[in-house]
Amino acid sequence: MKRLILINVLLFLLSGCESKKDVNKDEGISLSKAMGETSDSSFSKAFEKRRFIFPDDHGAHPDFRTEWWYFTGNLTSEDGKKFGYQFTVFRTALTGIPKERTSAWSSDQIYMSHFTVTDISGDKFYFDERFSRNGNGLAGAQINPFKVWLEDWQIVQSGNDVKFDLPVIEIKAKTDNAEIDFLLESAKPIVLQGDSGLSRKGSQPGNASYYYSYTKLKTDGKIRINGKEFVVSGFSWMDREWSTSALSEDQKGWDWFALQLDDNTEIMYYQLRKQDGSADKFSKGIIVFPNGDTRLLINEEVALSVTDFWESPGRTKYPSGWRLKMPSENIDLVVKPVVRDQLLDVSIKYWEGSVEINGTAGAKQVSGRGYVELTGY
Amino acid sequence: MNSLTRSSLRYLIKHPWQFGLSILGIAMGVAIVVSIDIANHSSGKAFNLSMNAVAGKSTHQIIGTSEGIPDSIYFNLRVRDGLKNIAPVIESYVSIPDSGKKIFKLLGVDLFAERPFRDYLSNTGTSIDGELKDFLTGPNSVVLSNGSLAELKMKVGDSLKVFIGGKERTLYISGKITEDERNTSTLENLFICDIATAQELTGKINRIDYIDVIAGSADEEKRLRSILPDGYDLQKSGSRSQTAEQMLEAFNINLQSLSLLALIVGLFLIYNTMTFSVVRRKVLIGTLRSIGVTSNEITTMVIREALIIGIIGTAAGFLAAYFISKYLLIFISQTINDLYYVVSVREIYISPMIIAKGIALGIFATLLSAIKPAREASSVHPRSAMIRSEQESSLLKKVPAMSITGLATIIAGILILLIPTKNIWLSYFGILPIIIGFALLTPVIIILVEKILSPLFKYLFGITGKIASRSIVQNISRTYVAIAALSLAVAATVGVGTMISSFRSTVIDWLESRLNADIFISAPSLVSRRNDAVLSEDLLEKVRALDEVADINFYREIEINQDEKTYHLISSGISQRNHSGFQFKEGEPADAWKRFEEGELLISEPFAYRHDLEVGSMLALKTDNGMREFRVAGVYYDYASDQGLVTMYHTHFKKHWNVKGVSGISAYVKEGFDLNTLKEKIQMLDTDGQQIVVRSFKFLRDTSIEIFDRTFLVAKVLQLLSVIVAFIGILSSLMSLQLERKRELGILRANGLLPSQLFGMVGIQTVMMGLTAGLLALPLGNVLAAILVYIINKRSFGWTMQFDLIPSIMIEAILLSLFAAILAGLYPAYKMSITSPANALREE
Repeated sequence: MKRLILINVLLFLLSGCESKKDVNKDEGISLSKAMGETSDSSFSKAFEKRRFIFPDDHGAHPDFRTEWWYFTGNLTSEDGKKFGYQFTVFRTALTGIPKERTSAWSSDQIYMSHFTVTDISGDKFYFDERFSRNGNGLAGAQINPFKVWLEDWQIVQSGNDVKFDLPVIEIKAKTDNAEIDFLLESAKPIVLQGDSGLSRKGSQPGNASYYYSYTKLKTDGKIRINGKEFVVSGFSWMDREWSTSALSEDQKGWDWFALQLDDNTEIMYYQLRKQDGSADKFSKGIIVFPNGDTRLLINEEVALSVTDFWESPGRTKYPSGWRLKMPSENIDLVVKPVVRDQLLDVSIKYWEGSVEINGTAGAKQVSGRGYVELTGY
Repeated sequence: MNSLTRSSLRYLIKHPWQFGLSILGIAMGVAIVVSIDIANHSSGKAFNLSMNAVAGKSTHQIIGTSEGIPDSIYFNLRVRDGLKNIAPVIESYVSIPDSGKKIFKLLGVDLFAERPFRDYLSNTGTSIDGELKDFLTGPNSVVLSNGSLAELKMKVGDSLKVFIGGKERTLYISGKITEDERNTSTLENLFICDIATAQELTGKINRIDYIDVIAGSADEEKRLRSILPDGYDLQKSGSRSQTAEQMLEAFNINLQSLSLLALIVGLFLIYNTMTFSVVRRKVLIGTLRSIGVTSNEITTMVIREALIIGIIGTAAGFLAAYFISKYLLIFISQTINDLYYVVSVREIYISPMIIAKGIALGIFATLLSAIKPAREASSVHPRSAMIRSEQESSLLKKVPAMSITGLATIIAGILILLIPTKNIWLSYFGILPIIIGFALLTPVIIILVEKILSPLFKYLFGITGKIASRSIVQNISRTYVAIAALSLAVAATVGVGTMISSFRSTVIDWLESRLNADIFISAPSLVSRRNDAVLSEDLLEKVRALDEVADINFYREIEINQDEKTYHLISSGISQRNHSGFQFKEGEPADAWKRFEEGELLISEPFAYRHDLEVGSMLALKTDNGMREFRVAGVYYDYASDQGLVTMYHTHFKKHWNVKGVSGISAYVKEGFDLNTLKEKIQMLDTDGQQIVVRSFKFLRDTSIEIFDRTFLVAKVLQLLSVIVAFIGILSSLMSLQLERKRELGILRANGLLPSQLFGMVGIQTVMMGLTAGLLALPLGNVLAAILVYIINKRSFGWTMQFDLIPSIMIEAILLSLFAAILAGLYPAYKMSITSPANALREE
């Protein structure tokens, strides 16, 4: 599900005062406005299931309005220091039918990227945001070799090794304070989300996305914070999603969980919140078993309750602790942010951060690490 | 209010003519100086604002070669080197044919790189209120400020036809920018578009003009310099404004000094008025002194009067300046657009400095010029107050000393002028002693003139003529100031007029020898002096191939930015036939041409002067392959640019600069072919949408002269204003002089002088004074002209001009003096002649 909203908010942000006012408030703009039906009928839409073809589908789908390459991960340094990171590249198309232009700068594809590092041991959170266009090679996505980039923030294929249809990739990004350089290699097969990769977000036909994930990527590399370098290793999670329109008018935001348990199970669950605060029936998730098998989790199977809150400097209250129960799988987890303030104070504010997990799966005690995203607050 | 103040006020009110004329004189003087200041300041400010709007928060610019910066360099800096605070910019000008030729600046930017740079594009200040989609993907989409939209009577969604680089384009207004208080004026002349759109509109495909940079620290700056490839420079953001300021420096100083000339005339006038008001009240002052008023109180009274006149005059001057400056601004910005760069001035800007200067000149100068009269008034001995002849005889005694001082002052002025300097102010400063010297010499000249004319007048007009001429000498303490003021004012018009005429004939001679082809082809340009739009090289070949064409010349002008200076380099494809059009100041022509074709440079006289170069000097130029040194083969006379030009033969130019296109083509018609047929044929050529202007020799010469005349329009306006000031001066002083002689004339009337005789006498007297002033103005005026031609212009702009004595200007000068004098004499003569002797004789 992710930050579909953000890329569309960008349009409002750059194009009008009206949205400027909205953005300055510590809350999102109307979701339906950002993610609702587009009047531009030139875009393709996710009406039905598709056959995914790789590596082609790792590249861009410019005929869809929105797309992203999304990485989060939790890492530990050799001396036991813990870190989290998020690196996301978003693409948004301004039109489904590009016009013939002579300038190399001309572009109907806009790219946005968010990069964060959470220094868990140091209780610090670093974030940055960038925009660019795919004109003049400033940003883009390609498949051979695989590369997705926004200026010098890049996801690039490293060598010729391919694991579960995904090449080994290198991720590089830096801000004034934080820098990452990782090698990622998938440890588990691809996971097609929703109905064989078609993830419906609303009752309207076409209000859906194509969505696949790699839920466990072995990650090794370096993190540099304020000039200090750490050699780290751990696991990342990759989400790929593209769509044209998704949300219904009555949806306000979502809480999204990507949890990696130490028994080699992963759980993804997103809860769409309606304007009245209740969970939408299109909320869903997936459980990935150690052998790579998956099972769709429907809204009714999951009981999510908030156990704590955190108030942002802008006086917005965010959930900051959860209990996640899945009786059908006999799973009961307590999820807690490792750093309270992991708010991305960018074009539109949202909370996205590293979490730690403790609980039970069947009779066993389990723990784990993951990422949670909170939007629409 | 004490009785002294009341007496003083009553005097001023009872003499409304003198009071009013003094105020008018000061007001005019102040108005001229202030309005020139305002006009200069406003044009400068408008240019800086447009520069700032464009430069935003950038601290530096990366500038490339003559052709700008390839897209790939920007890509490398952003993507490979990871530089964040850089933004690409393309700048051009948009002229709108349907709007009275309004000119806007086109600014092409990358919205995504903009946020740190131009806040009107980000979410912190104003924002672009339109569809981002159209802005980025719609070809030819631009956004304008609300104000600009209103000015053009356009709205979002409209299309408009414009010219960019001489090509017609249809722009689509995809959005508007809402201004806030801070940036209204910066936005008003801007069309903003996407960098891709700008490339397409200007034809600068695959390249940008420059890259804006924010380098917060010296380290960042150093790092950036180390990354930049050869041929790319990092220059400070202000340097473009600075270059513009430097360009206009000489132009501005000359305008300012012309305005000061008007003020000097005004000061003479004030001095004259104050002296007169004191002299006139000598009896009253004597009476006051005898009843116990101290001399200090008298001084204060006079100074206070001067202050009142000064304040009212200055205030009126500011008011007038506000209106005058609006007109001056039109001329000045036109000149800047003709000669230097595109600037669009829509508003009047006044700085505290201008106000301070205006007040200082108006009030303090008035007070200063009142000091001597005030001292004179305070030293009036109660007993001798009645005797004016005492004062006159004392001045007569001083005449020899004054004359010697005058000569010495003139010599001092000449010495100052001879100091070899490039400082224009110092040169102007040298003019002042010469003017003062002339003023000091005025009494002796008056006496001499009277000696010669007195017998003649006696012969012509009998006793009336003799009395008339004698009384000029008898009243010399006042007549000389009036005559000096008038002659100075007239001399100023002679000086400026002669300089302009000399310059003009120099330029015409030069144009006629230089423009020796038959037909001239160029692209329409916004700055008349040079062609910012280029023609394709295809067109050059097409013209060359025409049957009617015997031979062609062509050139390409580029600007090189190096060492924070702008050099104008001309790549010249000159034919042998045109060699005769160049007159060399230095260098033997045959040798210079030979060396020129071998790759050496020809430089124009102003360039040689500005950069201290001569034949044999080496000049380093920033080529596309880095810095290269070139030898100067010759210095030629040229009046096209006061910035100077560097000329290089085109085949050598091509080796160093990768520049395409030509700025201008001129062609010679083959014998036996018709010029108009050729003109039509050229106009029929396929130019791929490029507008071309085809002009005949005569037409081009005439338009060039028109531009020249436009340039000097301001000078002419100033000249006219000085004449008006002088005229008011002479009117007020002569009028008061005659009014003051009421008693004397009354006695003459009582002794049998007929009203008609009296009328004639006063008339003769003023004519004589006018004539004396006119005669005096001729040598002074021509000396001023010679100084302007040989010293001021040479030092300001570096060009040699011929100096012509212009008889018509001199005749005009004398007529002007006479006219002013006669007009000034009419009213008093009339008034005197109708006054009964009894009334005239009655004491006030």
